[in-house]
Amino acid sequence: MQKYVAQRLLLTIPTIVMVTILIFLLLRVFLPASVIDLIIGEYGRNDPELRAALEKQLGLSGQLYNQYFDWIGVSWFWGGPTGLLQGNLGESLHSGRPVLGELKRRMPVSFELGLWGQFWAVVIPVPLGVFAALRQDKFADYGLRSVAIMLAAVPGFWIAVLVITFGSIWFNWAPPINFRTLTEDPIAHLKIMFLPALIIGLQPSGGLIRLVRTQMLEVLRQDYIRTAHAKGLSQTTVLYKHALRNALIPIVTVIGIGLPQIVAGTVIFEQIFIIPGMGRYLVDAVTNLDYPVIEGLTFIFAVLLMVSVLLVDISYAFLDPRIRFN
Amino acid sequence: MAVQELGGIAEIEGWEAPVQKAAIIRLFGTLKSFARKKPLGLVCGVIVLFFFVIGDVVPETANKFAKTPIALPGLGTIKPDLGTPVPYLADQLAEVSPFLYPYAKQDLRARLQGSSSKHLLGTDAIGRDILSRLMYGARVAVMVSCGAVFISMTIGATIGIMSGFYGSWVDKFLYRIVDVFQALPPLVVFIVILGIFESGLWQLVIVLGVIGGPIQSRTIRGQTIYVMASPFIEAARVVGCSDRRIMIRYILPNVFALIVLNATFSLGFLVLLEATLSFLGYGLPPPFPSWGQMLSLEGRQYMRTQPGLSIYPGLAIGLLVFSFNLFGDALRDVLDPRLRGSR
Repeated sequence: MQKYVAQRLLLTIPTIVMVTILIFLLLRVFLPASVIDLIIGEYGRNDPELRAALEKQLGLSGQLYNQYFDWIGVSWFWGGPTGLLQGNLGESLHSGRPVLGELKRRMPVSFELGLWGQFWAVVIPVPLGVFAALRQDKFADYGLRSVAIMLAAVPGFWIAVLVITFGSIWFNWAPPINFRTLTEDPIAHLKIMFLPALIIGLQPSGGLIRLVRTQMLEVLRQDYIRTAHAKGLSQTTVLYKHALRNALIPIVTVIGIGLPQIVAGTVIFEQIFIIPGMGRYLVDAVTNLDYPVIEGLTFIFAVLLMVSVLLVDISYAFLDPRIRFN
Repeated sequence: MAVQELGGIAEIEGWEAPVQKAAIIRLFGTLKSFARKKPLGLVCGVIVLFFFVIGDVVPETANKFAKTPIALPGLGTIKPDLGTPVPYLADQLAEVSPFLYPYAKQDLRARLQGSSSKHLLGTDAIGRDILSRLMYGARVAVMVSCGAVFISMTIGATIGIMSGFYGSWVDKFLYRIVDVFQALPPLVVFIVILGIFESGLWQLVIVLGVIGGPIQSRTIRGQTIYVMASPFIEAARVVGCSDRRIMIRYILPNVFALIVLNATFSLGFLVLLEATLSFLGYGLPPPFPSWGQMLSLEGRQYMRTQPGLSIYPGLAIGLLVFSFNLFGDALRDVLDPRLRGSR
């Protein structure tokens, strides 16, 4: 077990290095409009001295590999500036604020939204799937299955647009513009978070309803369920103690696969419901070509995704001994 | 010596080859059995076909190739002149039935109208017919998804087959690359790339295809390893086939069903992705109609006066994705070798 975890951890290191190289190449080498040109344009004069000073200040001067080492923070060991390794993600070109400070405010918001979404993605499909399995091949089953297939095909942002459209037409309701944190005003905060989280949770629900249903049907046919019935246990005990628990094992797997999605899946809903999370920060930075922010954010997003995938994989190794010895 | 006694490879392969029927008859037979087994799948296939026709993929591509000059190094540019452009079905329909399909005519006097006999689904804020714009949007959805799937499947199949075939360090090296692509959160990468570089139809196709490619190789690699254990690969080796021949003639046909399946499933996903990106403003620039963009620009702005603007594009996306998914499901039931025996 330890060997497996150590192996997986070691394998992440080259991946992270490759990711940083990719981001660096994409944002510094292939960038069509030079950032310096943009800033110089704001100053209104093209002066070689100013240009050189700016390049030095932004870490854009010198050889490419030196720039890369500066950004990563390797050159800090021989007296260069601090970089990613020291926890310095750079500063925004527009506001001048450090990216890390901004992230400290925004990351909890995105995480909370994603976790609420994941909460709904469990609470909605599991009971519905069990219900459909118990009414196999009856009207309720067909109805739920059709709904499930449709949910998988409909884009989440369309549901969001519809909610806003008809909310405003019928109830004169619009998503609140002023964001409140949980500590400031818990009720207003939950009101803001409720709808986007519900819609985020609805998206994977379609597939999950079908999965829960098939798993449940398979488990209900097993011998131990018949034994439990034969022992004279009540229907509820058989269902919840014996059947559902066994049916949930593969479902936990699928939810685990969905977990990394909360890292980036909230971007579009933050945009629609005006929530100041990481996604909005990224979209704003891309619009402004604020390249230190884009670099830092893409890196953070990639690391978060990798960490969540790693955690999910390790938890499988705990649950399923076959993976460990592979 | 032994090989000579057995005769040529063609004879060995031809030993038990059944008498081949004509291709058209075989195709018709396959379709018939597909329709009998999966009626809903067939209906969805027809809907997908309908969107392809509405999207006018063929004329669009043909005209594109008929017009683009080809630059050859050393020979200068060749300007292919393939005669008059292929007419769009949309244009033809508009001429034959003006009341049904008046798509090209912007009518500034009829703005934000509800549905009527003239404009079946109403008009938008500058007097354009919504139905016609939806049909144009089908072109973008179909072209982006099909183009991107073609690119990503080519990349995925190449990586998957190569790493499964060679194993050892090639496999390890290619897998580090696939890992890197898996570590990048897709939506974030698309926003960054399309936001910094200009977005357009071909940029969208290439970016979606290339970024999505390596991830597709996982299942293909697994299937390749499975195929590699079969005796016919060993036989091909004994006869002296080159690596390339084994990969193309022996492995590729055996993993092709899997590639087709992956492709149909990612088609629906890519339609959603294109809509999402267009909705966020990283898809095609505004005069180009795209479903996601119609939802975000006009749908949200005029939702109170013309709610249809925010309903119909979403319905179109849903219908196309729904048909792609169900068609893929039916295709999997027919093609997947693991499910074939179970019925």
